[in-house]
Amino acid sequence: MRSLPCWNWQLDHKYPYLAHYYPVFHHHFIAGWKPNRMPVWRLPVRFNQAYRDFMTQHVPEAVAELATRGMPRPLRFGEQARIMVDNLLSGHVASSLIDQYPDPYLARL
Amino acid sequence: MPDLQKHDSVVAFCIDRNFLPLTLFMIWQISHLNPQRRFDFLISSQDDLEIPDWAKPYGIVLHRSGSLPAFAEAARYAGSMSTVLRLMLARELGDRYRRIIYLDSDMYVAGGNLGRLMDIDLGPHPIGAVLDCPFFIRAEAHAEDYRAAGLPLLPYFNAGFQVIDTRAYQDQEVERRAFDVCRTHKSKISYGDQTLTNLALKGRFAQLSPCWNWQMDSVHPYLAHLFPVYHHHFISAIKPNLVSNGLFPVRFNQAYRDFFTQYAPEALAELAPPPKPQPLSFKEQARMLFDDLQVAKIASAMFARYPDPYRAVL
Repeated sequence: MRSLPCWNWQLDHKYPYLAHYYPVFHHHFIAGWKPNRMPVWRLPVRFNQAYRDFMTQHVPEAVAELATRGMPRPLRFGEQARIMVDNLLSGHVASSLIDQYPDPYLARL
Repeated sequence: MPDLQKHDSVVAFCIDRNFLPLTLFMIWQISHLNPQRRFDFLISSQDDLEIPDWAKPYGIVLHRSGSLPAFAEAARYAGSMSTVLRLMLARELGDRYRRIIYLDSDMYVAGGNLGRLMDIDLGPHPIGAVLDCPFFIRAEAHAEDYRAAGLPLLPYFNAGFQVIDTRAYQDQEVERRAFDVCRTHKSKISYGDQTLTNLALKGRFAQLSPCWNWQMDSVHPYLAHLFPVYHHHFISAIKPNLVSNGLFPVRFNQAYRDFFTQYAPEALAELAPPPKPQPLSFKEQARMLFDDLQVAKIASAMFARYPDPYRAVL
């Protein structure tokens, strides 16, 4: 059985805009690109913030281990352009992959 | 005094019955994010509302708002008078609550500690609020309401998120001064009670960080990529629950869909279908790149101006 990408989305660190119109249920921070471990400009800061809010309230001893955020700023032109180019280069592959799984509750057997 | 009133501060909404599912969605989000909250929830309305059983543990206070003066009709906005009710909150609730955080119901709550925000220093001001969206687009934004009233360039706030100090609000007669605008303002009242309050205060309010009332998602969905937003506010008629062809990330529509499916299935019929799950087009991405580039310098300065979400610019 092939798992559906919305249940295990692994592309945030490289293609942060790719799931713009694709509803992701579980974001998986694979390899070293984890928003709780290191500031990665391609990852939206909302992931780090969610860890921060949760740990502050429920696990304060873990806040010290949480990656510090960079200064809030808009993405630079070069950064946004790189994301755009990457998205355009891989968009058709993602598109056909997503098309294979129109229903999150229907697996390909 | 109803048992539901337990704290000295409150998160309040002013709605008609059409907005109850959206309001419950926000209360559900806020409760999740503030499990040890020290504030009440209150819904002010002139309609008969009923809290569904699943939401009863939140202890939501239903408040029957008083009548509006007849001349306030001039401030009707988008066919409704419900937002004008917020002008009366401080008088109607001031003997019970020292602080009110008023919220519009077209918001998505992503974070923030509203209990901590209740204690923010507002200085001498009756209201803490976030600048309106044109201030994030133009360096010298001259609000349309101020221009029409012959006023100079002054800070102008979006009324969808307000921290209200009930004593200062009453001492400074904000309600009376705001309603007076209905009779003295020569031009059309374009933005309902937002116009009234801004013309009453003329820029004298505590400025909160834009993270509390982020209004840029419809045109600049990635401007806050590296800026932590607590409350996304879907201003204008283009909202992720109403349209499928906006530039909003689908996660907002999906969040409404998940919530309505579980708690308010009757509201699903009103929800816009999700956009087609496809990558952003070249045209959409190029437009976003261009639009963000146009405002990057102003946005940068705005982010730097509010380094602490719990400290207002006075």
